[in-house]
Formats: sequence, structure tokens, C-alpha cells
Amino acid sequence: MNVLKALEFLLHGPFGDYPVGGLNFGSLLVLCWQVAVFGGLYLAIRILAKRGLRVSIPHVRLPGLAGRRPLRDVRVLLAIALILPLVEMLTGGYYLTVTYNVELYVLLAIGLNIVVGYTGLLDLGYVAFFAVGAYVYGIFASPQLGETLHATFHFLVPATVGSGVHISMLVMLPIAGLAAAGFGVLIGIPTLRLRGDYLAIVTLGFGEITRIFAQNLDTPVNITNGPNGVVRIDDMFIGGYSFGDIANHIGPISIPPFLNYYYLVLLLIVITVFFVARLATSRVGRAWTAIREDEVAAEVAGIHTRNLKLLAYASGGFFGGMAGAVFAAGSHVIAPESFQLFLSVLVLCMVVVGGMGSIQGAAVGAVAIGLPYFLSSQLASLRVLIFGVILVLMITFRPQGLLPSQQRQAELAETVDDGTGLPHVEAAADLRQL
Amino acid sequence: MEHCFDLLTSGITPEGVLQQLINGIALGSIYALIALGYSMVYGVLELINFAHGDVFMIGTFIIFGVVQATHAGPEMTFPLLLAVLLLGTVLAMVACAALGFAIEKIAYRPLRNAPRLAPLISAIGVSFVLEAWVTTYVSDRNHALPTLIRGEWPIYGYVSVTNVQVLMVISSILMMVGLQFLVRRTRLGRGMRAVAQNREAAALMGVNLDSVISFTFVIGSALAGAAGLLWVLNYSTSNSIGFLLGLKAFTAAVIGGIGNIPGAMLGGFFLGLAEALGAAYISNISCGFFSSSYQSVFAFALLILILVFRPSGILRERVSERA
Repeated sequence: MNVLKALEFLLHGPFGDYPVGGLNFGSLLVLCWQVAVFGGLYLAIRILAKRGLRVSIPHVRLPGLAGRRPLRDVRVLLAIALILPLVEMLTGGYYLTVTYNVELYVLLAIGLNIVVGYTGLLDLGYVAFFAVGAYVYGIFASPQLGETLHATFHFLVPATVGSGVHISMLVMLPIAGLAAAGFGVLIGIPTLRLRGDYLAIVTLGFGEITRIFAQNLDTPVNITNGPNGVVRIDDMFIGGYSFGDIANHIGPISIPPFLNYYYLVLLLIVITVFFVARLATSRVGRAWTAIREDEVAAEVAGIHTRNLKLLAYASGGFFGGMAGAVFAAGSHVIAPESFQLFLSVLVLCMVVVGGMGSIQGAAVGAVAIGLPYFLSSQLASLRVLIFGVILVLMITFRPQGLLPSQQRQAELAETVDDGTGLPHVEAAADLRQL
Repeated sequence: MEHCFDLLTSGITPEGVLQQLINGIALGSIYALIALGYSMVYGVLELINFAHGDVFMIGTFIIFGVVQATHAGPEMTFPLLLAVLLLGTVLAMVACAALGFAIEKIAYRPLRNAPRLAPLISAIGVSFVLEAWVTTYVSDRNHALPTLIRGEWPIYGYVSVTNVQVLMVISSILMMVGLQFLVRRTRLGRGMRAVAQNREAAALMGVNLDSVISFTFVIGSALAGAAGLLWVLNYSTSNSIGFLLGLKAFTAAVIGGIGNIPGAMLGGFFLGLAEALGAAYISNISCGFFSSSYQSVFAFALLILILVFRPSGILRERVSERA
């Protein structure tokens, strides 16, 4: 807890005991302290940077992996991911939950990376796909559907249907994914002409609209159960094996439900990475890159930009929808509050911080942001504050991300600002040194 | 079917519509003031300043704090009350202007030549910092002032305009006229217009880019601070109003034609009206399917429709299709 104490002193200085909260002078004192301390730090760094101080992020090199950068090596990442939960089980269940959450975000980040990183479509409404997947799974796998059908067509559907439709996850996962993919196409069609910031705002709008609908679609027909959300959602099951059964065990070792979900998501990630990596180097992937770099030129070069952009939305949506289905099954309850705009922003930041257009980057970004974020849940709103500060610093000091795709890195190095105000990147290249 | 017809005929009365029109114009004047900040910054930097809504939110809290610290209330004599409100407004405008200046310096200036996604992310980061700071250190609840300015003017039937609404509309129009004068008639305004047209050419002609951009942020943020006063006089404030209001104001700016000052004003009023009327009558029009809880959807739906069908806004300004 010494870390927390130190953090508190750094943030509040000597005014930590002052009653904070409410409109009083305590918050003013804290503000003065923070402006003095952090403003001073910031100025000092800027001045040092101007004087020619160079700090570069060191590359971690492990012995035995001579010359390799372990974070880029998929096998290393996979091995860590496979062993991690087993180690964590020894320390009790808490960290397993955190890891599982982070892992879901890894899946989301890799999915969003298709849309933002490869195709360059700035999507701030990714949460909509997650929500669609979660609600599709939730409605089918809970008594919700049966009860609604009975209430609406009570002369046709007997009350006994109310116990819910139980379908194997082998069917439900793709259905949830496909529903989200279809939703992606629906969002994509009206926004085909938009680019850049405008696209970001419109997708953000769609994300919010989705949430507001989820919140209000309990009348006139109860589809989403409104603000209360869908409850009593089944665990995933395959054959006779239920993921939520606490009696599952291999030999003498019992398997907690979260472990099932952890490995399920890991499997999904592996499948996703396999497809995305193949896709990225295929004709489709190259077309996406072309659209990202210059849409008009791509179109002139004979690329069917409309279909390919829709395909990017659909495939991004597919993985987001599957993540949503797993989320719904793992938590048994989904409510509109789970699908705030903040989630979209969080995932986008993971992609950007990790390095756009690189799968490892998205994964590393998700871990780098998600892990501290979920571990610090006791800091409440303070962690959002710290998250914002890190985001700003990260993007101003290292705009290309932690692990940028090598192709993109090479492009960034070549491009010099030609004075048209068009992207990039002399300044970014300079900042990288900082 | 009959039920729907009843909803349509009995629910919508001329008085009701008139009252909603008045409410909508009052709300729209605030949207317009905030929209100006978005519009100016977008005009000069082609950047959506996501943090602008939160700057506004901080402005509302400063005025709230001043009113609370001076124990101002409706029982105060009018000149004293006016002095308190003026003090609050000046403080809020100065603080917001300083905040806007600092935000530009820290979060946007280093990214001026970076890929377009970078400043957007940075803006989102700043927005989260501001909101989370207020949540952590000030308050995470709703705060409403007592009615400070009373009195209303009857118009027709039970319809009336409150003094606060009159104040909102008049002061926001005054500020917009002042801003228009600043942009059209002064040296700095000429610099802003030049930078908006072509940044590099303006710099070559001797316009000081940095100071023009800083100035744009300062003016926009000060207007947001002033909008804060108008907001707390009529509505309650909380730590979370910034983002949504900011988005709505941005919608207003887009509706009017972003980068265009009269357009922002027009867009603000348009959005205010659409929201007030929509929230009041959506239930009647849709036969009870939609309710007023869909209010926020109007702004987003309008934004999407405008961007898709008329991306240059009502007053056709600028080209929207930028990479």
C-alpha cells in the first residue's frame, strides 16, 4: 500500500487530509498543488527536450532470444497467455478475473484494429458491435425471449417456453458475431462517404444511439428489458460441458468457470489473429492499406472501396460481437451501462497506444492500458484521470504507439511534410527521439 | 389506430408548441455559444476539440462555486446579485480561457503536424482528464442553483417567457455579434481567417500562427465560460454534462456549416428547437412507440442525417470530405 500512499502524496501534496469533494477550498488547494507540481515537471521536461535531451524507450531483450524482440514474437506471447492463469490460480481467483477482462479487451482491440489500423476508418462506436453481440446472445440464452414471446403472442406461445432457448455455443457464437457484422454493414452504408473526424463523430453517434435504444426497448415490446438489462443468461456450453459448472474438474484439479472462459477467449484470439494476419497480407488486406493511405487513389487503381470498407466494418464487427457474446455469458447479466462510450474510447486508445495496424501492437496496447486500469479499480474516478493523462502524454511523445507495424513505421520514416498540411510526419519522427 | 389519432390531435396544442419553441430557442442559444468554440477551432485547425464541452462544464462549476461562496440568493438586492453574477462570469471566462490556452499548448501544439488521428485521441484524453478531475475533487452529483432571477412575461394563454430565457437569448446574440465583429473587422480576426483558409500561406504572409491559434482557443473557451453562466441560471450542472453537451454543440456547428460563425448560431437554435419539439412530441407522433427518453437520439440522428446528406451544413461552408 506504500505505492498508494506515495501516489496520494504526489497527487494531493500536504492537502490530502483536507475534505475533498463538494465545492470547497480543498479542491482549489489540491488544484494549486497539482498545477505547481505537474506543471513544473512538464515544463522541465519540455525545456530539457529543447536542450537536446534524448530519451528513447529501451527495447527489452531477454537472454536466449538474442536479437529478437520478445513482444513481437507471437510464440512468446502465446506461451505467456497459456501459462499465466495457471500461475494466477495459485494466488487465488482475483487476478484471474482481471486477466480475463484484459483478455476480452485484447480481442476487442484486435477486432477494432481491422477497422482503424488497417482500413483507416476511425470508429468511435465500436461498443455498438460488442453490445449487439452481447444482447443477441443474452436474449437467446436467457428466459427473456420466451417471456417476451409469451407476453406478446400469448395465444400462440405457451408460458412453458419461458424457460429460454438453450443452444450450443458453437451455434450461438457465430450467430452473435454475424449479427454484429450485419450491424456493422448497416452502420457502414450511410457513412461510406465520410472520412476522418466526421466519421469518428458519426460512429460515436451510432454507438450512443445503440445504447439509448438498448435502454428504452422495453416498451412497447420488451426486447432488451430496458435499464434493468437482461438477466439469468446461460453459461456457454458445448455438448454436455457447461462453462459455468463449478463441479468441472480434470482429475483431482477443479476448473473454476473463469478459467473456461479465459481459454475460450484465448482460443477466439488465436483464431482471430490467424484470420486477421492472413487477411492483412492478402489481396483484401493490401486493398485496405491502400484505402487507408489514399482512398481516391485506391478507387482509381480499381479497388472496390465500398465493398471493402463494408467488409472491414463487418469483420471488425464480427469479432466484437463474439467478444460481446462471451462477455454476456461470463457475467450472466448485461445492462445498457456496460456499453458506454467510454468502452469504445478505451479500445481505440489501446489500438493507438499499441501501434495502429499491428496485431501485436493491439494486443500489447490492450494489456498495457487494460491491466493497470482493471487493477486500480479501487481508485474509482482517479484512474480515469490518470488514464487521460497517460493518453495525452503517450500521444504527444510517441504518436506511433508502442509497437507500430513495421510497414507503417517504414512509411512514417520516408514521409516528409511537404507543406500541404497533409499527414505526416517529420514532427512525429522528431518526437520519437524525445 | 384511434388511439394514435387521439394522441396526435389532443396531445399537440398551439400553446404547447409555442412554449416548446420558446424553450428550444433558449436552449439553442447555449448550444450556439458552445458551438462557436468548436466552429472556430475547427476552422483554424481542422480539429474537433473534444475537450471544449468539459471546459464549459468547468465554467458552470466556477459560477456555481462563486454563487455559493457569496451566499447569493433571490432575496439579495438586484445590483448586488448582478455584481455577484458578473464576478462569477468574469472569473469563469478567465479561468476557461486560461484552460483553453493550456490545453492547446500541452495537448494540441506538439501534434500540429502529426497524423490526424493523434490530436483527436489527445483531445479525448484531455476531456477525460477534466471530467475525472471534477468527479474526483469537486463533485459527482447534480447541482442546481436556486432561481436567482425571477419574473416572466406572459405571451399567449399559459405560455410565458421567463426573464432568464430573455437574458439567455439576448446575451448570446450580443456575444455572437461581438465575435463576428472581432473576426471580420480586427487584425487578429483577419489572421484567423487567413489561417483558416490556408495555414502555410498565412504563415508565409507573416501571420503568427501560434498566437492566432492560441487566441482562437482563448476566445472559444471564454465564450464557453460565459455560456456556463446562462446554463446554471436555468439548468442543473454535473460533472458529466460536458461530453454530451459538447457533442450536441458540435452537432449544432455541423448543422450550420462548421467554420462559419452565423452558421453555428443558426445550427444552435435549430438543434435547440428540434430537441425541445422532438422530446415533447415524439410520443404523440410515433403513436407512443418512442418516448422523451430518446431525446439525445435526436441530436445524433440529426448529426448523421446532416453529415450524410448535406455535409456542408445549412450555410454551405467548407468541404467536409477531408481525409
